[in-house]
Amino acid sequence: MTVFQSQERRLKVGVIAAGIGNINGVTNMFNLVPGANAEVCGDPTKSSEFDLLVLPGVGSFDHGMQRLVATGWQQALSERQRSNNLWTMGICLGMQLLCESSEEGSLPGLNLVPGRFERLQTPRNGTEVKVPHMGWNTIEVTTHPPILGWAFAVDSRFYFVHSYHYLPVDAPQVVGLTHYAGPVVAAIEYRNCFGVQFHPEKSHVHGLNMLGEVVRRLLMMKSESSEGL
Amino acid sequence: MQPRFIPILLIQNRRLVKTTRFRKPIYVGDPLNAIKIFNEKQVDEITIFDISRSHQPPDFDFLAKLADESFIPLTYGGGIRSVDQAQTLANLGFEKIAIRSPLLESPDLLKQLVECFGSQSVVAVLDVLRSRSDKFQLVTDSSPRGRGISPKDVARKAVDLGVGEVIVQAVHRDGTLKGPDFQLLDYLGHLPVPVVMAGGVASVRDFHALVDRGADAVGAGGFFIFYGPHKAVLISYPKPHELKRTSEIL
Repeated sequence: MTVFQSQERRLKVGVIAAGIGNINGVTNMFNLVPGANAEVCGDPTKSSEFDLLVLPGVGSFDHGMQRLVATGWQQALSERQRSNNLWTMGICLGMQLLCESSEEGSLPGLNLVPGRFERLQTPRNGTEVKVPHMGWNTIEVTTHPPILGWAFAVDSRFYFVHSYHYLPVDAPQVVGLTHYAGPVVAAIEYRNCFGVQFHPEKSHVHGLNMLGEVVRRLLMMKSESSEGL
Repeated sequence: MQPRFIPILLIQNRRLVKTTRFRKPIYVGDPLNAIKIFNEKQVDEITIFDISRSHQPPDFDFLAKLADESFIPLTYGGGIRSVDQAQTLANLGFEKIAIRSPLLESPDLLKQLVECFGSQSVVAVLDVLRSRSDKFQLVTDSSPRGRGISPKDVARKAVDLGVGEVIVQAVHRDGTLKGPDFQLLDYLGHLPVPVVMAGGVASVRDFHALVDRGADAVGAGGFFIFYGPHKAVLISYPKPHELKRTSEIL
């Protein structure tokens, strides 16, 4: 019997609707992953119904944090931090919001993952670069934590569009880097939270494959822990 | 990082059209079909301009259908006049919103969009005409033949207001497949944000030549949609190895 046959063995994915992101695209792509059942979730009181909550993000930092506080999601996500087998994923601005702060805004972030964001400088390591970093780029995996550590196939490429980047590049939370006149953090993982700077939902088969690996991993982790009881 | 080669699709009342020098739109096909095909071909990203929106809001119902077919980045321009409209577009799945008329008419809107969505989500579109005396003029809805507004000034102003990307279309080359206007790129000079050059691109060689000359990305319409000397409609996209740059500078 395969893991994906019954509804209960699927990963329940909730895409957070707080007015800050591309919820349809993310939901659509997760629903293409066998083993995942994704829907949009606008009600923070329902957060524990979802194995994985995804915070997409298109926008600016303070605007994003204001929306999360106003909708009650900031509270719900903070409480989730102490949960077992409930995970939170941030995409692009969503990844920024998971962290402590960003030079882009003056509000504190969700503080679920250590680290901060600063603006991409030009010149960068002696090279003039355009900001935002916009386009397709590859990933170099640097560590192998449980969720993202083996989620990136060699030669996969992802779409980046951002002006702020995670620091420090050698933090233990960093899973992978991309290169733009120097290393730029592309993925982070810390306890039950993880984030990607690029847009998997706009990275075609590469994004789909990566999300597939993530879902597979989370399902394994979920079933391993329930067997342990 | 590879420079992008971007299909620019024009829609008019839910039909895919192609113009020549921004005039005489001809029917080319079904936009939904085009989006599906470009997605299959895994193109870098797609830009959609709705040219039937001068005094109307975006056609959200239709755009929703287009966005649902897309697993690559989408930029939309046409009739965006409020932050709410932009929010709807973002929710539907458009990564970037393109602004043309408000650049001159409502710079405040531009500022608000940048504040709410961040620079990386706002794109300025400059349509440039080359006059008989070889001067570059900005083309707008109210001045389709261009008036004495310097495109270079408008580009700088847009960057100051916080846009994250600038698309420059050479109106005089649009639809002609006669090759891009390299002098236009030179005239624009260096901008701190990515610049997409469009208008007249007719070959992969044009793509590489524009990038060599300083463009960060290249947009094209006719090149991806027409085939052969009689301009038969056939959607195509170069293979990855054709677009690969031999020197990886970054």
